Amino acid sequence: MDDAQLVERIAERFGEAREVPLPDPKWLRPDAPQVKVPAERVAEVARYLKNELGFDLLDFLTAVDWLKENRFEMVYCFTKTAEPKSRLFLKADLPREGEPGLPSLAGLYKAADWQEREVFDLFGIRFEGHPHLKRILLWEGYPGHPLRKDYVHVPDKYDNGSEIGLPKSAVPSGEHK
Amino acid sequence: MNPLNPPAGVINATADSILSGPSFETKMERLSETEMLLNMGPQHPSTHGVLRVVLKLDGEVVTGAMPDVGYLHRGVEKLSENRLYPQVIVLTDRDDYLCAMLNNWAYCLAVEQLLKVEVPARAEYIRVLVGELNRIASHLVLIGTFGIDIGAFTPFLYAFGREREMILDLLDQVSGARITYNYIRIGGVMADLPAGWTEKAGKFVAHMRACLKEYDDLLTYNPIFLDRTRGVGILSKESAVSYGVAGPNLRASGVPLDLRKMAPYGVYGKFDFEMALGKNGDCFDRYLVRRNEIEQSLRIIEQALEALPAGDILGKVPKANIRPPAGEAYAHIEGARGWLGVYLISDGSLQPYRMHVRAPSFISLAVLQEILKGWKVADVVAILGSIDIVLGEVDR
Amino acid sequence: MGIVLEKLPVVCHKVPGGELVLTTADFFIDWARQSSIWPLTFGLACCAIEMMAAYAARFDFNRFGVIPRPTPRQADCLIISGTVTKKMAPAIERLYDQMPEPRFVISMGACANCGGPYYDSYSVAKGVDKVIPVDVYIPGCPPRPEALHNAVLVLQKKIEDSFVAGSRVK
Repeated sequence: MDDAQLVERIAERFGEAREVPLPDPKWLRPDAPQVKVPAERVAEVARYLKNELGFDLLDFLTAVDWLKENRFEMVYCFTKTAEPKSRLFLKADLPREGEPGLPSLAGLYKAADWQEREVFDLFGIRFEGHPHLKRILLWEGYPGHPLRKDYVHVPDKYDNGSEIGLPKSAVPSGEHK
Repeated sequence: MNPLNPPAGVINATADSILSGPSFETKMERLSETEMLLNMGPQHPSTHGVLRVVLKLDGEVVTGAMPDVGYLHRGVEKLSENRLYPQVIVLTDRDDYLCAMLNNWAYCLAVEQLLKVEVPARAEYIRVLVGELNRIASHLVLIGTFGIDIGAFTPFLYAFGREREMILDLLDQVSGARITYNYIRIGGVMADLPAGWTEKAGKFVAHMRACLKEYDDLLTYNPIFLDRTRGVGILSKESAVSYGVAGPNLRASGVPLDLRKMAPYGVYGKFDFEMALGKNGDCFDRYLVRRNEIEQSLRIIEQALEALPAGDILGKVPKANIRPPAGEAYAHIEGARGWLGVYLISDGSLQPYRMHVRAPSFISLAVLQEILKGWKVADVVAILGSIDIVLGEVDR
Repeated sequence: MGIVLEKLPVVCHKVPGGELVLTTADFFIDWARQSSIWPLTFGLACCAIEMMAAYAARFDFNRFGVIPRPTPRQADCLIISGTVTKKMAPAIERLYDQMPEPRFVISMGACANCGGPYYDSYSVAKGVDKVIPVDVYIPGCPPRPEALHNAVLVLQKKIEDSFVAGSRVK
């Protein structure tokens, strides 16, 4: 089954699933099919991938904060133990406002357990049905979610009062973020 | 600050807070009269850094385990969004400081995918050489510390004090640093091999082969070691795959999966080597896979030394202001502890928009909460040691 | 040590020539302390690997009388080998409090000195001296084992120069 057929099969089964469009025509991308589904259907699609298409290994999952477009993007990468060359990226969009959430994959892939906790910790995205969703890397009560692009670090007693980021002089031509 | 009364939120380290927290209630049922909680870490001689595990014990038998990580969380993913592309290599060095070369490599592969740079053949071979040497060094650390964990001190002196130092000397000569190299650069490597290096590396390969027999005598056939490790902490195939474990830990469970073999990157397709495989997925298999992997790495090094071509060491990459075109890339390589992946998004500026590291240690460590159950406290140390984690990579 | 530190100076100062005894006691106590620095087995990050290399066969820390102890109750030196995160800082403070006096702290590497490559991280303490007092700083990222040896020599010199019968050692 080649990449196009794979996407077609998923789209056939899940009407809303479609190949992720390129943000602009020059956008580069890894050599693997990418499918976008509505956030609430992620678990269903993952179950289908695991049970019927043989993607038994959840390689990684993470989130990306697209601040300008006002959305989070969840990125899942699935692969097969028998054939690690074939990969599939599953993506889902989430709104940035309120408490963004989507179904957890922890019951399906145990790999999702800690990685979802990490995403919850650093992005503040909730995973419904996760057995114990709590912070994993930072401590309880940490203010904010640092990997969000609009995160502002409040210096505490362990800081020198420095901000996150390189000094402005280190980055040429005013590209400082 | 009064250590007995830490401010709320700063330290969640008391057993009480874990006990009353939502995780413990859902993860483990309440303590019965015969049970107790044992807090292991974050300062413990055999947790390999600053890992903390809360163990629920019935007598001496572990009935539940809750690893608590994050004591070395340095925010690398956020920092990389604020660094120039070449500067991020420095951060990847310190992610997994036992095989920094491989971390450099994974990141550089991702950037090269975006830049579409051709890496010269000589640089590819040098990458294989230093990468495999670093893999051996990393496995030697496991052999040494695993021995210490279960009471054999002597292998540590050999592994850490003799063979690993030889490798560090070799890597020191090419890069100028002992453990954090910053040697593999975007588009190639930093510098060419110094004169006479290949001969020294060849001598090391011969020496290491002979030494493996010593390690066998010290550990592999040591009856005490066998008793402590064989049949202990079994990780089944299904569990390992479900947890996403890859690399030596997965191969120890009997799943043949090695990216160097099955999805070769760089010039790995040209080498002849075997995949080290285990059967049972117990502590001994996890040890043995690494011991055998050293042997295979030596074979790869030998072949790479023989086939090392002449030529450039750096592809056509701008000297300054590396600005990959907008897009995303995912590179994953076979690290010393499993698949090491870097997911990189560029928005066309001088700094990455987002970098995510698929850290193999982080993923393998999650297994702990399952495989510790039913074993004695003394076995906890053996199981933890055999999984081979690096806390820098777990927490990033 | 209570008798030597508290009673001896009081008695000696009253006796003519008593300072001579104090100087000799100083010399003896300092000599004993500097020759048996027992650090806590406590690794944090990359520097811990170099610290382990320093303990191992090639660099052989034992020849300085440096023997690692696994519990803070038996240790008199704390080597902060690596990045101190904000989550870890309270635990380090507690470890320091658990050590008996006199105690010494070696800050090993750029991270422990000032935050190092993580100088702008949201979760890293910018130097261990924000938490506990430090006796010797070692530059480097990570410092080589030789640098750690040098730090111990510097610490030994510092102990040698201290007056036990005074109020210098803390």
